[in-house]
This record gives sequence, C-alpha cells and structure tokens, in this order.
Amino acid sequence: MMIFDRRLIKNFDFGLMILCLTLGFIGIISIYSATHFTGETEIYLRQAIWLGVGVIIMICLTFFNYRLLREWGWLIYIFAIILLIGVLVFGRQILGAQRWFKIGSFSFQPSEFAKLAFIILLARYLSPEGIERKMTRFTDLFIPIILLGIPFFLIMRQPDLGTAFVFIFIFFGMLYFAGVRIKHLVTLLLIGLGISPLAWFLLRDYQKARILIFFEPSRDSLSSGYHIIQSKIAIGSGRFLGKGFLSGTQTQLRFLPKQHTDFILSVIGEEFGFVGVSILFLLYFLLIYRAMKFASTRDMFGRLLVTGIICGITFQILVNIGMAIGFAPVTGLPLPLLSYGGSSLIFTLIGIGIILNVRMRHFCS
Amino acid sequence: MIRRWFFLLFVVCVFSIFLARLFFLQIIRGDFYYRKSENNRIQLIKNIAPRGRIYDCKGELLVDNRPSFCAYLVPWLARNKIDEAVEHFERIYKIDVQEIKRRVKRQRFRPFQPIPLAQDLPPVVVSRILESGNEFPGIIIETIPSRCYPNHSLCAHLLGYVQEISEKDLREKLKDEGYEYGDQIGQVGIERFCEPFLKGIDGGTKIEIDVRGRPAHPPRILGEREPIIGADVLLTIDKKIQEACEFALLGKRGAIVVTDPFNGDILGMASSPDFDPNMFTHPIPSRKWQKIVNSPGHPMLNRTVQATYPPGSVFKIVVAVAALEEGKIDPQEVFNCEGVHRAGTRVYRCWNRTGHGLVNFTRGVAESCDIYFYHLGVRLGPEIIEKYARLFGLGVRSGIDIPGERSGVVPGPDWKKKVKKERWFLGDTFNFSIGQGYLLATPLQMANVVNVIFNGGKLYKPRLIQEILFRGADTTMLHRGGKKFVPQLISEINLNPATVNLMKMALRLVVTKGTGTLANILEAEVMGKTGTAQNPGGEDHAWFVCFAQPNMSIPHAVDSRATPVTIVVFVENGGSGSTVASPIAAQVLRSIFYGP
Repeated sequence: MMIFDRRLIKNFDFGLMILCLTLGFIGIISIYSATHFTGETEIYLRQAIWLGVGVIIMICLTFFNYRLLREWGWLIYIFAIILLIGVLVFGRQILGAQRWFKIGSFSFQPSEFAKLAFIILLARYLSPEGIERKMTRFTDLFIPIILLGIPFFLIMRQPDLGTAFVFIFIFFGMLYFAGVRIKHLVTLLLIGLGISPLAWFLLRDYQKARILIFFEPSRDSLSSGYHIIQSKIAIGSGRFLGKGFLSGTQTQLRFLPKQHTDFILSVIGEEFGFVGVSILFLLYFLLIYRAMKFASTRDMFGRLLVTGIICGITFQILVNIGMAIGFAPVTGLPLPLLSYGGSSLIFTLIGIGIILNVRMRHFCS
Repeated sequence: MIRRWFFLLFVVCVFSIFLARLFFLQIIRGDFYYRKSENNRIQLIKNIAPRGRIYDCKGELLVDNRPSFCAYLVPWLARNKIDEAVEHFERIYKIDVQEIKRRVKRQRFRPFQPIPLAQDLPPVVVSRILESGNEFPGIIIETIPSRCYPNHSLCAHLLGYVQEISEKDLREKLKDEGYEYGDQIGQVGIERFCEPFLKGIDGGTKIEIDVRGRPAHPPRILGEREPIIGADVLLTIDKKIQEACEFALLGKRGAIVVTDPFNGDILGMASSPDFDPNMFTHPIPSRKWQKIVNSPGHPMLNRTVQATYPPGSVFKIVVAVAALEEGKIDPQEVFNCEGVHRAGTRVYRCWNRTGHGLVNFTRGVAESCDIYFYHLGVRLGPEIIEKYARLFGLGVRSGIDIPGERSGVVPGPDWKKKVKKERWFLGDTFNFSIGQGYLLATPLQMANVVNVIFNGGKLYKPRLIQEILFRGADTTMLHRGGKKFVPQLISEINLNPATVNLMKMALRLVVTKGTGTLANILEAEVMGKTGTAQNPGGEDHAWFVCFAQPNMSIPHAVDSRATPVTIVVFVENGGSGSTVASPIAAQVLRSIFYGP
C-alpha cells in the first residue's frame, strides 16, 4: 500500500500544490491587513499555522491509495451524519447558528467533513465495481436524492443555508459528470425549485432577512444591508490599482464587517484594486482548470471524487465573490483557501489532497 | 469528455460576469465609491465660531456669547435603539420626535453625522443625560457658543436677534454663502445688517473615524482649522443714554431718538414696548411667536424707523425755516389769531380755540399758533413746503444701518395727483403747514430735521455703527471689509445765519415761555418744539423735539455729556406734546447732563 514507486512521485502535481500555497499566502496577507489595527494580531498567525497543518495533511493524504476511501465510504458517511446530529444537540451556538464543535481552541465544523463524506459515498454509488453505472432511468436518481437529503436536512436545521446549497451544487455536478441525462437533471432541478418555497419555512428569521436585504440593500443600512453596501464601497473605492497594502480605509477602519472571514475579497478589492482581484480570479481559474484536468483518470470513482470536490470549491468561490460584489445574498460561505477559518482551510486542502492522490494513481487500476 | 469543457466554460462565463461587475464597480464607478469611502472615514467635527460681540460707544458690552449645551444624536452609536433614545429624550426635554426621525431617515447612509436634538439644555437635563448614558444610547452633549444679550431688552430693536436659519432661507440663497443646517443667523437690526461681519468662520477638525464613529486607532487628524471669531461691532449708542430713554418710555408706546447733531451719531434709540432677544436664540413654538408679534403693543415694531406718524406741530419748524429763507415773512409781521381761520366756506381752527391774539414769528413758533402757520403756508404754497421738507430729509429713508426703515410721505400737488388721483386743495395746504394731513415721518427723520437747523444745514446719514473690528488673526478676512464708518453727509442746505439765529431764539422761547415749558431744565439749555398730532387711529400722538446743550454755568458730573444732543420724543396716542412728551424729554436730558 505504501509503496512509493518513482511514478507516484513523478505524478505528484506540484503545480496544484503551489497554486494552493499561493492562494493560502494571499489569504494570510489579506487577513493580516484586515486585522492589522484591531489588536487581534494572532489571527493571521493562526491562519498560517493552519495552512502549514493543512498542507502536511494534504501531503499525507497522498500516501495511501484513494480507492481505500471507496471501501470506507458508508462508514465515513454514517460517521458524518452522526456528527451532524451531534452538532445540533451539543454544538456551540455562534451567530444564531449551531455549526461548530469546539475542541480546545479549535472549532470544528462537521458540515465540512460531511461534504467530503457525501462526495465519497455518492462517487461510490455512481461507480459500482470500477465501472460506470448507466443511469438511464429517472428512478435511478432515487438513492442519490436520499444520500443528499439526509445531510441537507440536518444542515438546514443548523441552519446553514450556504453550505446546504453547496451540497445541492455538488450533487448536480457529480450527477452531471456521471453522465446522467441532462433531461433528467433539468427535471430534477425543476422539481427542486417547485418545492423550494417550502424550504422558506425552515429558514430562521435572520436568513429570511438576509435574502430580503439582498434584493433591497437600503432596507436596513445599519445591519445586514450594511455588509453589502460597505463591501461594494470597499471594492469600488479600490479603483484600478487599489489603495495599497494596509492602506484600505474601509478595511483599516473596520467599516467592513467580517472582513477577514466572509468578506476577505473586499479587502483585496480595496487594497489591490481591479488588478489584484483579476489576478486572484486567474489563480482560482487555474486551480479549477488544473484540478479538472485530473478528472481524466480512467477510474470512474476517482473521476467523480475529483469533480465532486471541484464542484464544492467552485461553488463556494463563485457564491462568495458574488456576495462581495453584490450579486448573491450574504450566505456566510467562506472564500476557499483565503478566508480566515481552520475548518474551511483544512478541509479544502484535504479535498485538494484527495485530488492529488487521484492524479498520482491515474495510471493504475 | 465534453462535459468537462462545458463545466469550465460555465466557470469562465461566471468569472467574466464578475470581472465585468468589478470593472463597473472599480473603474466606472470607482471615483464615486472612493468618495463614499472617504466620507465613511472622515468626520468633520465642527467647531462653531462665536459671533462677534457688539459694544456701545464707550466699550460697554451689549451683545455677548455664552456656552450652551446642545444634544446630538449619532445614529451609528444608537444603532437599532434610535427610537428608544429619541423617545427617552423627549420625556425629559421637549423635542419634535417626528422631525428627528425624518432626519435620521434622510441621512441613513451617513450614520456618523450627528443630528441636533435640542439646544441650550438646562444643566439639570445635561447632568441627567450624562449620569445615565445608557438610557440615551447615541446621544451626546456638546458645548457650543450661543448668543446672549446680557442687558436683556436693552436696545432690543436696534440690535435684533439671532435665530436658527430657516430651511427656506438656506435652500434659496444662503447655502452658497456657506451656511449650513442648524447655523444661527441674525434676523433684524444690527444682527442682520452686520451678519457678514458678525458671523465668524467655523473651524473644524477632520479626523479619521472607525466604524463606531470613534477616532481611528492610531488617531489621525487629516486637517484642522481654528474657528475664527466674528468681527466685533462698535456702535455709536451710549448705553447710559439708551437706558435713560428706555426707562423714560416704560409703560408707554412710543419712541425716543437721541442723536449728536454735529455728526449724525445715534446715541440712543428706544422703542417701546420692547422684547427680550434672548427668547429667540433657541427655537420657540410658533404659537408663542405669533402671540408676541400680534400682541396689542406690537413689541417687535421698531417705532423709531419702522413706523411713520404725522409729525403735527413739530413740522412747523420746517415751514418756519422755509418762510424765513424764502423771504415770505417779516419776523415782526403780526397776524391776528381769533382761534378760527375762514377760507371760503370752510373754517380752520387753531388748537387754542380762544385764539392767540396778535402773533409775530417768535410767538407763533413758541405758542405753536396754527393760524399763524396757515398764513405762512398760503404764502409759501405747497410746492415750497414740500421742497424744504425734502431738504430736511423727510420723505426718504435716512439710510440708517438697520433693515426695514420706512421712508414716510411728503405730500404735494404732484404727489396727490399721482397717488390719490385728486387735485390739491387749499385745505391740504393748511394741513400741510401744521404737519397734518398726508405728511408722515419717522421719529428718526424728525431728529434729522432738528439736526439740520442746529448744525448749520448739514443733513447727515444717521450713524449707528462706528467701527467693525476684526479680532481674528487671519488677515485674509480683511477683504470682507473690516472698517471704520465715518459720518456721512447726505446734503447741505445753505441756511442764512439770520434764519438759524431766529429759529434758535424761537425754539428757546418754546421751552422758556411757550408750549414746551415742562422741558425747561436747569442742567441744559433746551431749544425745542412740541407737537400734538391728530391721527385717525385715536388719541393724539405726543411729540417733542429739541436741541439741548449743557448749561456750563452749573457744575456737571465728570462723566456727564459735555456736548449738545438732539432728542426726539414720540408717544403714540400719548395726548399733548407739551404735557406728555416734553417732561419725558426733560427726564432723559437730566440723565444725560446730570449734576455731580
């Protein structure tokens, strides 16, 4: 199992790892700037430590064959569900939502783990015994819907609207890459949209408020709508080249709420301008593009694993950026690799580790 | 696999849309958002400049500033407790809650801008707020200079008062002149006239603030400007004389003007009833305002310049001078006064129904014989009287530095044709020659009439402002015209010295033997003329005008006035000039030229 032949090392993709490290480093710089005057100087250091830990975990994840995950699929999934139930019962309440387990000084978000578990099990279901399952009938989608439904419901209960939507996006993405007919996918999407008004009743008041405010930011400029307005001011005021590192007035004077977590893009937009954000976009695109190249492995399970993880990361990137520039509601999704937060950073790196693992072993099977 | 390329295409599309959005936000609208972010971070702490002070001619303070406590609401500090804060505040101090809420809404994108709640809070309210701050979230107390009139109603009419600028004024014109919402502005009198000088230049500190509206850490001051106090105004008014005038008018409706005949300086200028300008410094309910304005005595009316009255017999001075100057009369010539004068079918009476008997010039003036002046009037004709009235400054504004002055009316045949669409009758001439009929003048104009005779024919523009003194160190303010006001000659009549002497004699006789004997005092030599003006409004108006020079043969107090003055006393519906107005003049003169 732990045989390291030369091919494995040769196929380790340093490009992807460098991209991740670059993005993580940009994140640390931005967090440093965002918390520079607040006196919470240890925040960027913590992020740096997590980046280091995450990279080590990522590398460790390449030591075993990813196909082992396939064997353990159900177990991982069930464990994730137990954690999700546990967080509802015992978890810490932060900002009106129960999303966290607190272990020492480390807050652990089970939904991040559940995301991976869901991807692994769905990939396993869609690729029995190494061959592609031909999903020709609509009713074939029944099991995947159940697999989605359980964590989705539990996460909605927390409530964490953003992450729940990440699950949906991953779900559709993986079915799409598994070759499910577009006709079926569209039908499923329409059914989902049809019953989504029911979900409105699952939402907490603050979530309803956020969605309403997205459509009309001036509704409440002192609290929720304030986030979007201030973020737009921050990004817009960066103009072409930005105000310079540590010189963003919006950032430094704390006009931006959650500037080191969900609104990290506003910091970059303000301090590094249009040029800086464009470069960031390019890096993200390269990350997605490069990872997507590895989905060419002949192994269906590996392929679905890679695409599922990519879908999760992509969705978070797009929603977070959309939120910062006023295109999407404030959902509380972090920007992968950049936003401050241990769970998000480490699980993103775990995901990348799995992708690297798949890439390293694309010649076997 | 084609599906992978579609996925990447999708990602590229979304990124492109995002880039377009960023291009819009950062490049197209970049400057707009940049300004917004600047507004976000910069707060101008306004440092209100005190207005200039106003002094009398001897340096006595007439108008001052004092610190006053003002309450402001900072929406950001109050967060979602704005309503609670405002309503709490309303419970201890009356404010317009609706208006405040409107303002909060209007500036919802500038939550750091303080909104004024109330000015000039009593110390009790201030300490209540400071002690229990958390009951009043977001409410802060600041000290600002506030206008103060230490002598209360003294000089009220000529000083005027200040008020918060009205939204209408602000919108229409004053915004361009640098005024802002909540600024105080002079409303009438000197406060209005000298507004550009009295108003200082507000200073301010631009500081960087953080999201809580607190100075950023580390603090950064982006700019600072000291407030520049407004220019001081020195008046010609003598506080002591002014006090005497107002005291003499207590409980009466009327006006007194005291001037220096040799340069037109106004030494005292009282109008009664009066008001306390301190009342208006802070907003008062319009109901209260209406009550003051409409009260029967019309306290806001400055009777010295803003109201015109028939001068009655006082005008005989003008007719007498005209007759002498035009050679229409020999001072020795006598007319017989039988109490009535018949012209055609109509009968014109003298005020003395029993008649004065044989009357020459000096007696005619001293006794104010109407019949004598009817004769003069007929000999002169209305055009000549009108000419002289105008030479003495009647019928036009004197040009005093107070807004709202009235010009009065000098009638004449042309005037009557034009205004009344009627022919001039002989009766009009009779009325005109005794100062009745259409003739109207302000008490200040009558002071000018006396001055012209006693200073050798010089008609001065009444001077109220001596000097405007810039105390601010900033020399750039000089362009606003800090200056001395010198006496200004409007015109000069070449009066025959014989005429002047004869007039002086006659007017002295008025006081010693004639209608004005109650104004005959030991301290000064008074030469004057009484007037009892009939008017359609009811009881006669009482007038007394005089020139008085200190009697040097008796001892005077060191600080009593050593140079002559002119006084005009006017009592609205007061009755007889000789019994009502002249004793008031005597009272004022005694306090001007008082003994040791």
